[in-house]
Amino acid sequence: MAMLPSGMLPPQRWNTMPDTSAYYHLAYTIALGIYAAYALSLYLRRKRVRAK
Amino acid sequence: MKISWLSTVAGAAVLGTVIRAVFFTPLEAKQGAAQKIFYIHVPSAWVAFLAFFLVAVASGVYLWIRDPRLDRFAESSAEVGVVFTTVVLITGPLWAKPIWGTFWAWWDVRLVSTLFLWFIYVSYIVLRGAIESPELRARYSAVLGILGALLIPFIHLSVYLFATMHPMPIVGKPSAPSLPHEMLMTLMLSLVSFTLLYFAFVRARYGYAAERDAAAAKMEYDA
Repeated sequence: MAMLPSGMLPPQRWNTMPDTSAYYHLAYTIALGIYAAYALSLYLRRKRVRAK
Repeated sequence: MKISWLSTVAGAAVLGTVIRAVFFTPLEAKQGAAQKIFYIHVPSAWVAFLAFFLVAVASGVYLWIRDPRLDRFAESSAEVGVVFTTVVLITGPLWAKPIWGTFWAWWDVRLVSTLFLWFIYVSYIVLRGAIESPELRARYSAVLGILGALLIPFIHLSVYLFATMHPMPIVGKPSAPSLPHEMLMTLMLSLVSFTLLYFAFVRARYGYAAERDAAAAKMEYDA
């Protein structure tokens, strides 16, 4: 391995964290979307029963 | 129609939790951003179990004292529990794909038994829609509501009883939680805010059921 200046790590060890952000964004969007849709469905159902 | 104070507080708490999880909680070194799915998946699973446990309690007491308010509460809690379990069953595979390399494993008891729990309470809702007599509907669904909740301890213990890919409990274990402080605080906040969201949903769903039953009774009286 090539010599590095004191205190530096080889580049491949700097970036070992996988990029999993697409799954994270998708999970948050779907979960919050389901809760928002359910809240809206409760609101609309209650509004409809009151209108009867 | 006015939005209740509980719904406002629960909505604000969930929003605050999401902001903290996204912007102010550190990334986990090995899993990266996917680990943050944990802050939605775990509290949703906790609330689903709470919801179905309360269905069983309300159903048991209903069979004893036959108060229609308990049946209405069980109906509301079961529906909200199904919503939270749906989120669990979607967010879990979205975490599993980058970490395990697969969305789902049919041999994994924790995963399959959670799906089975979802089916039981979906069938609970279907059963309620299929029976016309209110007394019969309440009685049959109370029995199913109690039987379904028997799965909850089995699901919780399945990671100890069977070979499973699902992670062991990190917080709800006999020894101290093995999470860094910032992550533990975000998890605790998410547990509180999602529990508040559960109560807000059940309150709104119960209010709807009460108004629906009152309207049906009035129509019957007028006829």
